[in-house]
Amino acid sequence: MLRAYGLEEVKTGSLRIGVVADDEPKEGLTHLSELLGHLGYPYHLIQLGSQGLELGRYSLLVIYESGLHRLGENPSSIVSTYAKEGANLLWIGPGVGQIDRETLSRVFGLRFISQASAESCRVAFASSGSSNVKIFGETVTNVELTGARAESYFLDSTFRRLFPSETCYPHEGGEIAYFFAYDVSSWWNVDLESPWSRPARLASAIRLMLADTTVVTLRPYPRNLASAFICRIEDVDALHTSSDWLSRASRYLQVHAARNVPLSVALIPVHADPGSGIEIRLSSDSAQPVRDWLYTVIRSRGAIIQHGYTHQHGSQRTGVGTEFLVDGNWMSYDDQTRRISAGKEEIERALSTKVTAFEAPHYKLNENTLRAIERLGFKCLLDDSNSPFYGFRSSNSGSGEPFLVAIPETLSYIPLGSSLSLTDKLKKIVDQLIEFQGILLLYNHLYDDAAFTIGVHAMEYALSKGNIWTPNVNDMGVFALERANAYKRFTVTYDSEITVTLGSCAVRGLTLSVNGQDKISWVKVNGKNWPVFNADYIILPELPDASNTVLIGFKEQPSLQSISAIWGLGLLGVTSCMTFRFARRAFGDD
Amino acid sequence: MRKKEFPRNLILCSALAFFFSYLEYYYVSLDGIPYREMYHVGFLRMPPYVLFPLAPALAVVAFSPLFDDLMQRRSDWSQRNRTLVLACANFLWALTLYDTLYYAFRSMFPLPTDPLGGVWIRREEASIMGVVNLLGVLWPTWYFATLPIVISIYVAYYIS
Repeated sequence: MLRAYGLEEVKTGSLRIGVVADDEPKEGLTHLSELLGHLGYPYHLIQLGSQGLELGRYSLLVIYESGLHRLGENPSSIVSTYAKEGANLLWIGPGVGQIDRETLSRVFGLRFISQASAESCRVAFASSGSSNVKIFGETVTNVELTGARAESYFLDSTFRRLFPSETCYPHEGGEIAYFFAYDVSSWWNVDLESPWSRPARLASAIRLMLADTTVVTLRPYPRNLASAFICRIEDVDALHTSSDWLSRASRYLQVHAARNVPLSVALIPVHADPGSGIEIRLSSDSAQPVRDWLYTVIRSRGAIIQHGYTHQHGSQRTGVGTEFLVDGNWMSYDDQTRRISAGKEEIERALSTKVTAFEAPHYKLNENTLRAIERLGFKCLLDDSNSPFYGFRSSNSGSGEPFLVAIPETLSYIPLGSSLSLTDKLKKIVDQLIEFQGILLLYNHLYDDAAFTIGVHAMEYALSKGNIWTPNVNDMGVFALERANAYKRFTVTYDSEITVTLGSCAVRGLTLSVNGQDKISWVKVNGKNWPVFNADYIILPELPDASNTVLIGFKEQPSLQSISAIWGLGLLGVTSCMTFRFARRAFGDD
Repeated sequence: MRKKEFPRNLILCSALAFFFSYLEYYYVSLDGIPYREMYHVGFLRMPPYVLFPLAPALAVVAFSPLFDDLMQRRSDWSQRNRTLVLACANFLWALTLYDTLYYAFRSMFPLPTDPLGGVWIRREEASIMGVVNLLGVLWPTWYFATLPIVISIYVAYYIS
């Protein structure tokens, strides 16, 4: 349908990715949804209604075992029909044995052998070229190739090759059936050495399958930027007044400001040590040196993140324990609201700045915490969601509107006493994240000079990749919420021209990427010509309407604005004659 | 305007136009995208800083010989008239050069982050007067009004 070999051959249609899975909350499905949303593909969780699965509607069908029942009583025939219709198929994880032998061979080029736990098959890794994906206590499928190409293989702990872990079967029409023999959408951020290898493999497979198809995506960052680097300074409180730490922090700020990278500071409003009877507030006189540093951070485009109230409970001192989870019991909604509200007021009073970002101590938060921060007007949550993409928390008021952007940590932190070899590990993770447009968020306590050096090297390496956005957390939050508004109504219709519909977006710079063989020739936004585009992407202005239309053309458009050369030369001649006569008179030659 | 003063003022206007367009293209940007490309303000479709202070600054330099004459009271009405005409020509020349150089920088020495890097003017970017397609290259229509005025005045001045 949409397989495009130049737009001449594209028929009318709309590209959409269908996901066949149970919609109950499951980690894998959540991750897949976040990945598709982040990469800006229009997708849809398929619910089999009375009309059945609408053939031809999806260009790529992602199938999980859990959703097979949605394909009716005979999923094999649906899969077979879909393949005949020219859709790309992506099978993730176990369950392929439920497809009949003939269909499996014809559609995926595979023969099912067995399905078992990774331990029982001695599987330790899935290897594709230079990168290894660590396999955990999960189910793997053993298949034999009957025409498909193995993209990667399972390895045992001695790196001996076992059987294919990913296969690719290109059909004659150009469509591809791709198979993951393990659940690539789960177990993210579990392998400490290579935390994002699984989303990298999944994104790479989707890219491969849609490579020959004209696809319009809504890019995750503004102005066609490839990724975003955020540096967070962690656990700063009123006691951070030692000359050693302040000197390091000032130099760190200078180095980052010189490269236009703002710092986002996770700030604890009150330092408490009940054992010694100490309670120092950010607004106290003794905290003046750290306040001065924070003012400089804010002036350098930085942001303040509220990090709990005291970041402790009971007799613990600040920074040691959680705050809202006390001995396995969650604090009540009222208590959480009271503490967060008091902390917010303390920061806003001490620094005369508005705080809209929140990070729960040790990331421990529950529904009550979310309700409290929604009530207190926070827009951004720093979280450890095991995802390299920003996510959203919907309002508890029932409107379902996202009110909070969750920004994950993806580069982890720099532990006390780290050696400089940590830089190499961070560089590898940066490379991995940039490959699929993940967020680069590093947090640093600035414990020592090694932490300073590693942080600076990581930042410089990320920026050296080029095309990296350097927002603070608030910038990122505002953009992500606006993009989410636009994405909510994101549909793409392909004809000789491409019509994209988007929701409203109050920020400039939203980017549409067009993956096709033809170069963009003209663009109209809500009926008006728009000049900011290149061969394969468009940077959009603010989109004021609830529904906005972007029309993308690939053939030169005749325009009334293009006055003919004769008219131009005529204007030139008339003006010359008139002015020359006037000028001669002015210079007294007449 | 005395004979020596005219080329001096012309060079000064040209240099200022060069500096302004250089500054605008390489430094007036939003995260690497030139401001002019993203902000189409008002019916003139011109960034606000062109109306003020860039154009007035060019005007001040172009008309400075006239101001000089007026303040020094050193010329008669006819000479002031000549100076005024030449100052107008220099001002129009500076405006046209400033605008042309912006697109020249963009097409020949583009910012790596500029989505329109390497591209000459697009018809969507033109002012309300539009563009003229001459030999396959688009030119803002207002150039066809300003350039003949400027050239005619210079020619008339030299043959006078």
